[in-house]
Amino acid sequence: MKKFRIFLYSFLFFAIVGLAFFYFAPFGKITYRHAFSRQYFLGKGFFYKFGPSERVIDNKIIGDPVYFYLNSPRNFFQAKLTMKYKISPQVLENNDFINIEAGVLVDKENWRYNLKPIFNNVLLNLSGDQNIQISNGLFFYQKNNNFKNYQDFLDNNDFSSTVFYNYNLNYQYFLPNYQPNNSEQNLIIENIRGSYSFYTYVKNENLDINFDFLDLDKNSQNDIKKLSILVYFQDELIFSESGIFSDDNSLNYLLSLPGLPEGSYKVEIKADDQVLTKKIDTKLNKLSFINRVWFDQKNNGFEIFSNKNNFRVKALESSCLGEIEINNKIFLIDKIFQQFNIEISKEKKNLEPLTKINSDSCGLLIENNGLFSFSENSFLDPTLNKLDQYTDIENIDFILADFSLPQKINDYYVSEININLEGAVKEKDGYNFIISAPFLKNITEDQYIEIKEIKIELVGKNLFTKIKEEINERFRK
Amino acid sequence: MKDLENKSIKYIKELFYFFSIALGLLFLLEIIWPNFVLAYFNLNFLLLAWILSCFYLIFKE
Repeated sequence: MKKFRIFLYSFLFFAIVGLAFFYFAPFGKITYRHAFSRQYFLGKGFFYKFGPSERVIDNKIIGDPVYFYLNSPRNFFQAKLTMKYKISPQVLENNDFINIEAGVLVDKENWRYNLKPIFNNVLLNLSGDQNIQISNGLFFYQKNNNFKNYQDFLDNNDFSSTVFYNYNLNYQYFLPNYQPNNSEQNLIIENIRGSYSFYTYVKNENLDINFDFLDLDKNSQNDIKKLSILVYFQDELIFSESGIFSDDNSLNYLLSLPGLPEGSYKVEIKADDQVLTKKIDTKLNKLSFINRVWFDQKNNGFEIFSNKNNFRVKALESSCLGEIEINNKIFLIDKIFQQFNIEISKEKKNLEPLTKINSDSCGLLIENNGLFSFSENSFLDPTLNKLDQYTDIENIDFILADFSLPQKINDYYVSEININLEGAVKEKDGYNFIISAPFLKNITEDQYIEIKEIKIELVGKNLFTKIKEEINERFRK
Repeated sequence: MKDLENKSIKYIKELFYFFSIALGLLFLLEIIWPNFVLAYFNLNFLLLAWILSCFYLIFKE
């Protein structure tokens, strides 16, 4: 009986030690797997809440995007995600641009994810080409073999017929013949809702922008409401400050940064959807909104310009339903909260660089993958061309991508991506991951991605370093 | 036969104590560190084993 007792309690002790080892990952490394074909009747695993349910059938993703949580007990700084998947033949037949990305939530307020590429059919199709070089995890394609390698190409500094994919080039943009605004006339933009970001250009002048904000949330009077203003230069954060709303729910903020070197700057306003920017007032000449403009319903019509010819338009107030005119073509926005996808085909004889969008309506949210300005003269595009569904590969001479080609094992692809978890949001349920497949926007059961297995290897500090840091911290206090 | 029954009662009693302690301990660990146990092991199985041993002892003793 004594032996039996010793056996039972030793078993319990070792089981708890084992569980503690997997839970605390003392060496700073742990791997979690989720095989969809295997049922977890013994435990519930670390992967949760695959959904929304209407976009996932068993192990098939039929809609975009799909989210899941990884419940890790402690913080880690790096995740290596490996996904084994199959793309349905109907997807391959019906889509010219198949792009799958995965990533982790980094900004909960703006629902922003840090995405990395899993699969791209354009790059995969080109991978058999003899003009492809793959080195240091970079995929470099050149149509006419002009350069020895991608470094020579980057040194050449001409990116006019180049597209980039998942590659951040430390690129200094200069606007030729730019003159600062010496007139008394300011650039004024009114009634913009929520968060937004824009590019502006500075040369021998201060980055001075006056913002008038108003909090429309009447229930927030007892809370301290804040918004953040951030300024980036060449993708580096150079300024950030929080503004606090006064008792009358308003906030006047003067962003003033003197002595900046010439170049384009990105200004980002992080606020919730109830924040209205009543007025942006600046002497700067150039100002282009990035990817979206959301007009408040107080607006009485608008006229904007974009460098792209595809738009996603949504009315968020019933009073704002109406017509929108894009390059003299009229489209009806007659359903509230419905996203209208509008694409204008540019006639060859009318190759205006900017598309004009105007409407008498108010409160429309207009989005695309390009830039928007409020006049033709104030338009500025410091960005480099990115590979997307509108890229015409025939007219492209170079592609530079930070992309690892997926391995093909029988019918399945295996892709591996590294995701930086520093700065990722860790909620009660753990890290929030996304799988984005925009080509699955229209849910149909024959177009899907079948997932065989997801494996996530987490890397963080080991327990001994963590304890050492904790002791040092306390000692310093 | 009687001997075997007595012996099995002794063992089941030991198992009952073991299940009780294990259940309490694992439950406590799960409360302190969520998902410590449940990620790998469903405690319902242990609870079921505990109930079965409990019933066995009630009816045999």
